[in-house]
Amino acid sequence: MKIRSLACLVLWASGACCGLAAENPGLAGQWKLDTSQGSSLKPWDAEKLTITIQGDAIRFDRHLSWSPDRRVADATTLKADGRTVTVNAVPYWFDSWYNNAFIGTDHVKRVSGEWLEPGRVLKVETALFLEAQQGDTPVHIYDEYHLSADGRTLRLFELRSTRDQALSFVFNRE
Amino acid sequence: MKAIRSLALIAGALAALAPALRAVPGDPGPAPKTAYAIPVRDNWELTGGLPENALILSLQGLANTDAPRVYIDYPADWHFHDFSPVKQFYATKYGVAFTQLDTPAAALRTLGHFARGYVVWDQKVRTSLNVAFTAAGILRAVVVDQDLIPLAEAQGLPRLADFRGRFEGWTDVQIYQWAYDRYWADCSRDYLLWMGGVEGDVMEPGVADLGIAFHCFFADLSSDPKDTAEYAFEKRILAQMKPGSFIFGWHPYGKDTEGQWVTLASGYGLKIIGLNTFPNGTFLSQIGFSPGFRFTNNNHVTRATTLVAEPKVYISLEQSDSMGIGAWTEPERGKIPYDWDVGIDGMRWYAGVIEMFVQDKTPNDYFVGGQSGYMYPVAIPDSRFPALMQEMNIGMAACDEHVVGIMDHTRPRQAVPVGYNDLPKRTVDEYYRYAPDAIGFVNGYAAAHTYDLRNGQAFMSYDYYLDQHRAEDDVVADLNELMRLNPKRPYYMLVHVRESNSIKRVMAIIRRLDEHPEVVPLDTFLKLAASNQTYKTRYRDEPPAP
Repeated sequence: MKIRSLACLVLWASGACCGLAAENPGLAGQWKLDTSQGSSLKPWDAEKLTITIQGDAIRFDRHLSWSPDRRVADATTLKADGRTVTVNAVPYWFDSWYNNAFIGTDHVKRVSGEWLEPGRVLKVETALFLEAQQGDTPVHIYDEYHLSADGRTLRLFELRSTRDQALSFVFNRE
Repeated sequence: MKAIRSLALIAGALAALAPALRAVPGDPGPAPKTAYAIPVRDNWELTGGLPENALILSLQGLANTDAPRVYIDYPADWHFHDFSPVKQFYATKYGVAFTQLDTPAAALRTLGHFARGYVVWDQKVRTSLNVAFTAAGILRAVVVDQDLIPLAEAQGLPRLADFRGRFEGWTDVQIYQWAYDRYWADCSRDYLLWMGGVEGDVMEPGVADLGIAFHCFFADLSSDPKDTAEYAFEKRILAQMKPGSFIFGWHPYGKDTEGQWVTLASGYGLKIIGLNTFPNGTFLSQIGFSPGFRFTNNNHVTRATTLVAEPKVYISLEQSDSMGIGAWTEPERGKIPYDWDVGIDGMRWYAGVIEMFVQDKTPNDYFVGGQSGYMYPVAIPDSRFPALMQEMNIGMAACDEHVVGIMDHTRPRQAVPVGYNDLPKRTVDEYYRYAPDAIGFVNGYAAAHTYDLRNGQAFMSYDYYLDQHRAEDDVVADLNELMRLNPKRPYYMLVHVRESNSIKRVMAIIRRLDEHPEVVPLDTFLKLAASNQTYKTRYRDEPPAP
């Protein structure tokens, strides 16, 4: 009887685990920024993030909005192999509105990525130029995406070479 | 036959009298010895305090049409709260003795003779109040809702128009078309009233007295091209205004954006005096400076001065949006150099307020000029630009102002809020051409990237918009980052301080910055910027030619 119970428990646990795994697609999916936590995203009021993963290829699609008439979107692609640098076109730079920084005159960013913990912790590094009053300045951005154990929460930690304040953002799965 | 002839004579006499009733507001003169003060309720709901407040505002417009007789006491938290002390200023500095009329009944008893009758608006149709305001100016009537009819009739006032039930189920375009057909021929072509602002069951028509005194057409049509019918109607109205005319009021928040509205008005060469909450316009604009007063600025340099910038960071802090809704009355004013936007139209429309502010200036307060009102230079027709610049130069000279402030926001349809406030080269060229005697130019509202230097005149843009809601830590990080993004020294950091920021907060932020920048007044800042151009000459990005 005890053995049967134990077997059931094992079966139940493995099933639950399998179920969890089935419900946890890693970073891939649709995410919504929780503006009550983390750094301020202002002037943006909301962000929706879609992450698509196909092998090493990862794509981030962001949709930012600010009041009813200001809605913007951008996309970033990278290869998470720790080697490949992907050049992304950047029509506008949305991450530093207050700083009066435009995307540099080359309008590109160079992005590379690597799984620090497969499926759970992703490192993304970006090199780009930002244009300010005095012209273009090189900027390096270091991002780490951390997925919670239950797969429901995604945390982004960001360091920008020009900024001494680390940024963090919390996303909830949609 | 005799009766008809008599009627014709009476009509002719009334017509002859009509010009005499045209408002004097906007033509400042000496202060009166006496005036009445009437409070309004701190409730602007259609079914709350608005009916009584609208009655008082209409009475003010009628009574003040040819002289400043009535001052309205607004609640302490009214948008133009800094204007409130001006009543006491008029009493002490100008010697105006105010008699208080504490109720609408008392106000009507005392001032009802300025009205020829009353018009009734419909509480169920918000837009009917704008039609009633238009009718009030044309017919010389006070504005009442159903409940206030007995009060008006108790003063022997006849009913001149009644909009109850007339507009139910109509669209705004239909209502305004009806008002247009009925009143537009008699409305001013020099002044227009845009009663926008808050929407829904609230209206804050502080500027209505000016509209009534000036026989304005009142509307709140949409400037969003998507609202095809309203947009077309608005354009039809604007096209009929005289060159150089003013629009008082503000755009309707629920229908369009500020950028859409000001761009449209500027396209017809019209200037806007905001907001819909602008208080006591008919009173303030008929009283000039007190005898002997002269507007003077704290000038630190002249056009010919040459300064040499040191290899460090310079900051200048400018609060725009006039002094009436900002930090001027805070105790910290004067502790650091601060620049205050005082457009040239203030002298015409609220000289007493300007005098009250200016007489109280500290050595650290510096006034910045420019074509005030809301006017986007990029949208102004070429034919109007020289006259506006000439007007600006005359006004700035009278105000002892020597720095030109510019704001443009002509890309309302662009969702991306980047480069929004930049100017194309042709507009920069025009400022250099028409303001050769200015010390320099400052541009933007949000940050912008328009920079230039010609003939010793620096053309700088705001590098930072200090949002009153942004956390202090974030602002400090932003400003420190700006210093990293601009590594050459000298670096000239021009900060637009949104008016709701306290000076205390700004001082705390400045104290925490990494490089301990030197805060300087704007004229000095521009001369320093002219001495060593570390900034990149840049204008608005223009799309490639097709």
